[in-house]
Amino acid sequence: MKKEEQFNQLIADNSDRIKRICSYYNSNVDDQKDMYQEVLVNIWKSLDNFRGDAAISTWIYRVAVNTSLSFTGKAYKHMKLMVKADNQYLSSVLDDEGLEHKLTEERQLEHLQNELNLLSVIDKALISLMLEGLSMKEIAEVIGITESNVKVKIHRVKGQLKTKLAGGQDERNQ
Amino acid sequence: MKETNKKEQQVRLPELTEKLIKKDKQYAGMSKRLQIMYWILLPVYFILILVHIIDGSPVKDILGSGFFLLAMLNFALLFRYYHKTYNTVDYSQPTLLMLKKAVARYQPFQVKTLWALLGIIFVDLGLVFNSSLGFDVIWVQLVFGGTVLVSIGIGLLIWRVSYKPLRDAARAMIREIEGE
Repeated sequence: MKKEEQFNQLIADNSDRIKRICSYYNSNVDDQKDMYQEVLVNIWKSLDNFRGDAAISTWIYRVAVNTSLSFTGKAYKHMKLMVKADNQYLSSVLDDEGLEHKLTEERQLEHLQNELNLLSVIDKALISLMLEGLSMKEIAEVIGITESNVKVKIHRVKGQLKTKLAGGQDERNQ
Repeated sequence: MKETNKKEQQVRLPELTEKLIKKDKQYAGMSKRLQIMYWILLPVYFILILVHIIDGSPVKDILGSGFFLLAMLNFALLFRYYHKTYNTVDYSQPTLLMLKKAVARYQPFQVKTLWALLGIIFVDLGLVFNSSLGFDVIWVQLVFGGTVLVSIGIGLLIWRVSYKPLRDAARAMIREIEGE
């Protein structure tokens, strides 16, 4: 298959996945579009190196996450992680099945959003992969660390978020 | 709302693909042309040195030309290497590996810098030995050395403004990933 055909097929199969990743990192539609285009360019540049060792989805996520780090590199500190209440995996962030329902309240979603945006760039990347429904093993393959290391990091982030959200809840109830 | 977002996020894929193919071709063509130029110029210069030897030119001049030839060869290989390295950043590597490579790429002084230094020394020796150029040795050292120092200074300034923040950010992310 020619590179051009392979590329077009890859994008056709994964464009929604890439767009979602872009939307995690940018609230502005124009920025999302710019980043989407940047991811496509980097997929093209890296396509010759695809040997099929990793699943194509893991490969796509690597390019997307690495691009997001480079793309937002212009403003690391201002990089935000945008979440939507209808995200299928949102409850996994706090291990709370009832979260989706609770988060329909705009204020709570906003609170979670604020807390997520206080996380470091790497933690944001981990959470974005979690929101995509990737397993710990797949996240480890994307980032390049061990599965146990991913588990520790995600456990810590979840703990931080839970504490902060619970604290926020308590403050409001008082 | 979702529909609007999707529509606005659309990138015209055929146009983008066409642009990417064009860029690839341009890059391949440029690399090829540069390589052809170097590999034609180098033997030509070598033949010129041989002609000087046959004509009985002073040994110093021949040595000087020899050093210029070595400098050209050095810069040709170095340029080729840099061109290849900087244009083929692989974004599909694991994030940690990509960041480590970025840190190495954005270091101001690397082992490869020694190759550039070797090229500069060859040029300097070429200027010193080539008496046909009519340069005074001390004057050459002052002007050439000064130019090299100013160039290094400008290079470091550019690095500090453009590349140091990237290197530092990549380092910080590596520390964070490797922590715990």
